[in-house]
Amino acid sequence: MKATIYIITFTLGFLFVGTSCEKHSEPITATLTLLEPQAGDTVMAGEALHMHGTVVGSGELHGYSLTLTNLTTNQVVFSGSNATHQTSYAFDEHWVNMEGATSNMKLSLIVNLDHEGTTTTKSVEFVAGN
Amino acid sequence: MKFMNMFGIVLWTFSAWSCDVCGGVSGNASIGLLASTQFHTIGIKSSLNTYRSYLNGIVHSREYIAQGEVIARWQPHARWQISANIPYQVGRQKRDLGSDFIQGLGDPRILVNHVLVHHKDSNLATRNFLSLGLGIKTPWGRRAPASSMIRNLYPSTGAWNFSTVLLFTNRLTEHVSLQQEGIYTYKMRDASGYRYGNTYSYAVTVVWNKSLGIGRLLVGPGLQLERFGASTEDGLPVSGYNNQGFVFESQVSVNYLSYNWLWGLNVVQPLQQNFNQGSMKQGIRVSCTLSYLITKNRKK
Repeated sequence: MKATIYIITFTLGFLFVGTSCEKHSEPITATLTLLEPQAGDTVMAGEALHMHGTVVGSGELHGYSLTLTNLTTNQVVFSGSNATHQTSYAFDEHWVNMEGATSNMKLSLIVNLDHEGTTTTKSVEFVAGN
Repeated sequence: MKFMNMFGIVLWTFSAWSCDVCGGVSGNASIGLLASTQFHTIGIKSSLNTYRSYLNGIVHSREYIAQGEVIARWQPHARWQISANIPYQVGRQKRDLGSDFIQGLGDPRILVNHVLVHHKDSNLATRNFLSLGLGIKTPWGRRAPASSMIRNLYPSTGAWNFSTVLLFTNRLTEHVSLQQEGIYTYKMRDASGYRYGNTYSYAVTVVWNKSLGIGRLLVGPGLQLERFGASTEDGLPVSGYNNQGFVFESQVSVNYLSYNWLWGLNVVQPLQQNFNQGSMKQGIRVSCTLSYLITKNRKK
């Protein structure tokens, strides 16, 4: 009898733990907002570009990254990432235009929705003037 | 023990001038008055201020400002006091995607205080004390380059400040006195044309003192309201975040005096604030002070 109770308890406990590890039934979504720069903006040489934005998730998010690419030279001129788990993020970064020639630029915000590689992205293109 | 009589008004309150991490918070000049006219003082002070910056209500950076100061006060005359501070500041901003670290000499300042009223009772204990101080903050500390995006993290604002400090203390009972302090600070603009708004503050502190062990303990809980004007650039209002706002805060000071050494601890906790459109919030501030009191004149 004792053994049966142990087996039932163990089985229920196992089922409980298994249920706890179940994935979220609702997929997590995120609202990405790029406040600055705006599409089509021009940042003149020597001036600072403000990169401001927020990410608000429907649940826990798994980090984000911000990448600024010179599309003309195909060079990444700024990048940063945050791997902390939060339901929302805000960033306030600056980059000074030292490109030396007028270039098309692209700022990409990539948010990790899980650890399986599901992401959501928002980008904006602008001009680095000279 | 005659010199113990003025303890009802011996209180070294929190004082700060140039720590403009958010463009004006702590921009005022507390006289931090040792109202006695019987001592010169020299000492050191360490403080830590914390801030959080927000974007749409979400924290995007945290700021930590630590300061070490050499402080001194000289009594050239029974009714005149001159105090001076030289701060050294270490500032750190921690963001999601990076951090900045700026350190250097802060803005030296000097305050000349004139005692207008000093009533004493038959035991030579102070009953009423009123003083008016005029202060100058120099722009000689390490300042931000004109193009800097982290202007508020630098030790110097790069501008002259002029302050008027009115302090009134009256003794309520043998062990309790009430200290009120009103301050107005006019701020000049820096070399790039940027000018932080003027600041006003009013503080009220109840000072309780009691003989304890080999010295005397002073405890001063109080409240303070600071109001910050909007920043301008070349005389025009700064668009967007302009550093305007207010902070209403509680504070408590604990001081202990023994053998001419004055130990002080001050903690300030904001109760309500709306600064820079809510984009920045001041956290707890803590400071410790150790001063040596040099007896000027034991005769009265």
